[in-house]
Amino acid sequence: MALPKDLVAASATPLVLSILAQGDSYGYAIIQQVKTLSDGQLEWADGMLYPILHRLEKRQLIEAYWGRSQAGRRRKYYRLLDAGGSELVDLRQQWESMNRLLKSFSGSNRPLKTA
Amino acid sequence: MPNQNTTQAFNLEAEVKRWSERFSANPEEMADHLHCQVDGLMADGLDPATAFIRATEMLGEPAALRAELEKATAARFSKAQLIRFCAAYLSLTLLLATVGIVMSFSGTPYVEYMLAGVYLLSMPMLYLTARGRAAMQAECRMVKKLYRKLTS
Repeated sequence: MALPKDLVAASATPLVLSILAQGDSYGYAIIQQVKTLSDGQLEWADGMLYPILHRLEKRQLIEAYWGRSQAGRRRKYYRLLDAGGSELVDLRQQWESMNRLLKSFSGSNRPLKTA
Repeated sequence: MPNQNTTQAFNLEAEVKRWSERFSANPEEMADHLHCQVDGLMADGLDPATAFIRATEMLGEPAALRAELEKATAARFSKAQLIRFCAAYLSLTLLLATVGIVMSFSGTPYVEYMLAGVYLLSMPMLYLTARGRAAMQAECRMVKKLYRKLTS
């Protein structure tokens, strides 16, 4: 089941911050990681990630630095900053409380009508 | 190695460079992304030219992407930065006014010109300080790039 566009957009920031919380990474690797971990449910348009990364950098939640790929190409890496870690904690709490709220409705009410 | 001859005829390096230069806000990062994507597609069996076209399509509509990137990197003050800038501006004004009053009583000549000079020279520093370290580094990179362009 592919996730709708709105949900993909809303989850992009916590996902990027979560990936960077595991270690420094770069654009292409982040996209691949999201595709693999979501088992194909979360299909990002490749270009969508870069404006997100730059916005997070501007908000000083992450910082960028230049390194080299194995082939010797210049590569921009991103690192999570302390402010980004705090933001991630907040975002996770928000998602968890929304999840709890949705779960609280399931089971106790009458079954959902399906078309 | 897949399609060595096609690689030479197509000149992947030049095509990637040409394509990514459209993204003035971010050419090297986009070039690296394209190379990674093309490598992956070629490993799946595509020839370089097809892999390149497919990789650019996967990135999305170039004009829309460029606009998004420019919007994301546009220099705009955040609320906190604006407050910092205003606070620094007011502090500097008050400090220089106090120094000016004290010095004018002691009869120092040209005091107003000196203070006006300090005031004007401090403005860019105030602006950069208010925008924070990351923004300051970005401005420095931009100035360096501009300098290299002008001197080359």
